[in-house]
Amino acid sequence: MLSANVVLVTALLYVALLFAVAFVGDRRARTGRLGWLQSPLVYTLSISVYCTSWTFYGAVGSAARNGLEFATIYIGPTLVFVGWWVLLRKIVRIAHTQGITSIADMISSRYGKSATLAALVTLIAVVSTTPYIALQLKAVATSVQVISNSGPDTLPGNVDAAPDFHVGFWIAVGMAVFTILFGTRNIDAKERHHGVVAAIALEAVVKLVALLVVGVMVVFGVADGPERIFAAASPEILHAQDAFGPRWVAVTFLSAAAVICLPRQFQVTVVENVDEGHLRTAAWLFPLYLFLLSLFVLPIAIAGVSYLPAGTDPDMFVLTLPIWASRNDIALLSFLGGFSAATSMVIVACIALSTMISNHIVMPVALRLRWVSHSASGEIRRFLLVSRRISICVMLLLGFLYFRFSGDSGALASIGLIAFVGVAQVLPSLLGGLFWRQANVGGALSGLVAGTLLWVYTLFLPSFGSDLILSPQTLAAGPFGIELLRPQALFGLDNFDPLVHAMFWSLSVNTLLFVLVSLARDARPLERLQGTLFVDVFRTPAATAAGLLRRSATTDDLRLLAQRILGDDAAQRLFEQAAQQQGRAHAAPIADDAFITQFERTLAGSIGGASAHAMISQVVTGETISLDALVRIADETQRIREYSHELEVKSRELEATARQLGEANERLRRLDVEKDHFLSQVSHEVRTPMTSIRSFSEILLDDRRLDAAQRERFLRIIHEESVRLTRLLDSTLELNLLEHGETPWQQVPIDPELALDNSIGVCQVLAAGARVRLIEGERARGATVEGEADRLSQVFINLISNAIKYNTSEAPWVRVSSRLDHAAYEVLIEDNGPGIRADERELIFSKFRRGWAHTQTSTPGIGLGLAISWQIMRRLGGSLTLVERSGPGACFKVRLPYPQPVT
Amino acid sequence: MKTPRPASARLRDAAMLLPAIGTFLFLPPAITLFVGTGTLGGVPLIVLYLFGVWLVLIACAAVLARRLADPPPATDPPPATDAPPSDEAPAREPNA
Repeated sequence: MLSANVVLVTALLYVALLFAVAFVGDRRARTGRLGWLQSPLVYTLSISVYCTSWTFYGAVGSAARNGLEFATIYIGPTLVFVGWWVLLRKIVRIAHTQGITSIADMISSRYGKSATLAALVTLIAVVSTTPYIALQLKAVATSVQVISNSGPDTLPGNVDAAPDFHVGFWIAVGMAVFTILFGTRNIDAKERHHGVVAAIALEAVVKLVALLVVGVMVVFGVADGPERIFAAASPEILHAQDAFGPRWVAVTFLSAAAVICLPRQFQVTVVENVDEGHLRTAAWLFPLYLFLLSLFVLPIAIAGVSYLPAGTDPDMFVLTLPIWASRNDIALLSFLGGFSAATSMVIVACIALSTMISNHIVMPVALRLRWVSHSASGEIRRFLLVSRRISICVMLLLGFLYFRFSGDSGALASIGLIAFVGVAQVLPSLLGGLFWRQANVGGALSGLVAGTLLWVYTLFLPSFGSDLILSPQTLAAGPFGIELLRPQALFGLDNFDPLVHAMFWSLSVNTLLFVLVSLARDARPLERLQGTLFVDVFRTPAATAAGLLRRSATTDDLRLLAQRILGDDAAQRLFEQAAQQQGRAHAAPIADDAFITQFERTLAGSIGGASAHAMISQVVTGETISLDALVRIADETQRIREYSHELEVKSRELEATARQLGEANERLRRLDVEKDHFLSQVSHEVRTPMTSIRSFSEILLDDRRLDAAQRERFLRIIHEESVRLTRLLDSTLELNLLEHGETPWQQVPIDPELALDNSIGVCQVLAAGARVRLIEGERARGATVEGEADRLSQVFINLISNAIKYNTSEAPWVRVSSRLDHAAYEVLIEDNGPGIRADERELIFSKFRRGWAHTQTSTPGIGLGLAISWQIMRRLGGSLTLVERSGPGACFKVRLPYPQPVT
Repeated sequence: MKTPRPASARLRDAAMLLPAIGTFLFLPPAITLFVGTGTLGGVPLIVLYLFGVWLVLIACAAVLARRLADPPPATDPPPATDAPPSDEAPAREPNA
């Protein structure tokens, strides 16, 4: 039980604390003692303005109604931040190099600094943020009512009375004061609002701690551990069966889009970013923050549904559970948490929107209508500050009015999602602008306009509830009774959740128009320049970019402009700095391209890219964009890409070539060894008969006393040896011809059986002489192969005679058989001789290998027969192999394929 | 003879893939695998899966962010000559 006074005093004390923190933060920043203000932790905490009162109260409400669906709101941002390397890093880098001040400025700068585009995006942002601010006012007003109304018997939360608009109004006033005090100190949006950031960081901690404390109280105080909580409710509460439908995907996507495109998120994540490296920390710390915030949402929702009386507003469970459990201290902390969530969102959103309104709507109008004096120095600066302060008040007033008139329609979550779909309209233009060079202002404009109109018609207007703008009749039957145009079933797309329906139509039409118009239209030079600078931000050096835009101006004109916009002091500093950089101390800087570009960027930081460009254009002459240079930059990046690709291909080719060279080298080396071996073999073979010829002829010459018989014997030996020598040389020549002969043989159809019969006939005599039984095995008649009968006979004879000659067994036999299979004709020549030793098998067909060298026979061969036979079979297209088998003896197989049918 | 990619390139690829993996795991149909009546320690399986994947993603992002050094300035002009880089290739053999 808390009295209204206690609540009021606590709230005021807390607000005073916030003011103090903001004041100290600002003070420290001014005196240059930034310290923790610039730490990645504070940066991450400031990003948590994503979690508004919608999170604080609404997540539990959503969980109580739709189960797990609440998590999608946090999963989307988690994915974006976890993937910071892809998207956020690029956006932040561009914002740093281009001096971007808001999401509208980002879009407008990308598309040729278009003022129209900037105004349009600002308008979308204002329209979609207004209900969001209203939502915060409503949440705080309701929470004040709930916590101060509390009594022991009438449980709060089921307050049926209308929201307290007085509370809402005074809260709005308080936030306006805070935002104006700390949010509009200077006009350069890039100069960080350190005071605000410090207060936001404190609020981020308070809301996290509050929700965790309530969660722990529920799980371990009210219930007894998580299993009790989940046991208390039926599993139906998770809606696990129906949660993962189109709505799950849609809301995940929307929340991912929102965490980039929401004006306040863009403000804290991109504009207020001091150091790109801080993203590195936020990449995991912010998802962790979201994780912790979501951790107790389900238990709190379940506890609320299970323990609190039926009819209690689920959106207030975070507050009503502690009151129900009589823990007033926790209730108060929870109230402050919700208060923090709401105020931090409103403050940052107002700063972001006021910058956008003053830069992109008020300033261009003022310049055109000449509201601001052109002569007085610092005039524009004062004008800007005033317009920003007024914008803040207008935004809060709009929010309050929405709150006042939409009353209590809709749960918190649905209002937030309406805003999400609204800002998501910016996404196609943003992503397209970041990654697609061809995207241009025409596409962006048409896509945004169409998407926004569809969003307004299908989602925003229907959200006002009955008969404010769209009557229930229009909703049900379509405007003027045209069924096809029903806002929530456009073109007959029925049976869809209104949110999914609106998202589908607005975003798909938006994207389609953006792409089609971009393809159909040529970009202006300035668009192409900006497109290149955005898309290739990581590849284009700043120095190259500066030289792209050529223009000239007098230094005096620029100085005048600077004084009007920035004020005397700031202008003086800017020019002194530039002069120093140019090495011209104590003189005016030269207004060269680089200086003008830098000057424009400085102005853009204050008044936005479009306005800055418009103002500079008034004083410069002959603005040209060097298209050649632009094309060169684009080509350069292309070239780098191609070059690295080429490099890869080349190195692969090199690798392949090196491998081939290595193989060739190895082959050559083997051939060389073979050749040496062959030469030494031939010499050896020649030497033996030569030696005997020489020695016998010497004897014949020297010794005259030899008788006729002896002479004849010696002469016969000499003759035999020379015949042997000739045979050796003939064989060598033949082998050489076989191996290297290029002339093809005349292959004609022959009957191989005839050749085999012939060979057997020739060998009969030899077999008889050696007492070897020559057995004819099974024969397969009738085959026709292509070849040369003589050559084939030569192979057969060689094999059969070898088998006969080297057979040393007791009862020697040689069997010759032939057979046909589906592809070839085969002859097998077997014997029961000593066989081929296992270690010889591999080499049996090489030159000078006598497979039977281990046998003691009287007639040593020259060792070329098998090699020649093998070569002949190769030339005939067949093969000669040694059949692996057990048992004694050897078995050679001659195989000749049938001729291929001519096709 | 494949030249191994530098570790930083591998990390960059991983950083690009991480959100895709997360998206795959969080969206149907992958997530519907865990819809059921099963519980672990009293907590429904789907809740454990959701928060478990979430935590793993955060851990991966933290490790990657810590190890991912800034890329070397990508503004390095390509070598002016088109000479094949054969002189450098052997120097980069991974023997070291």
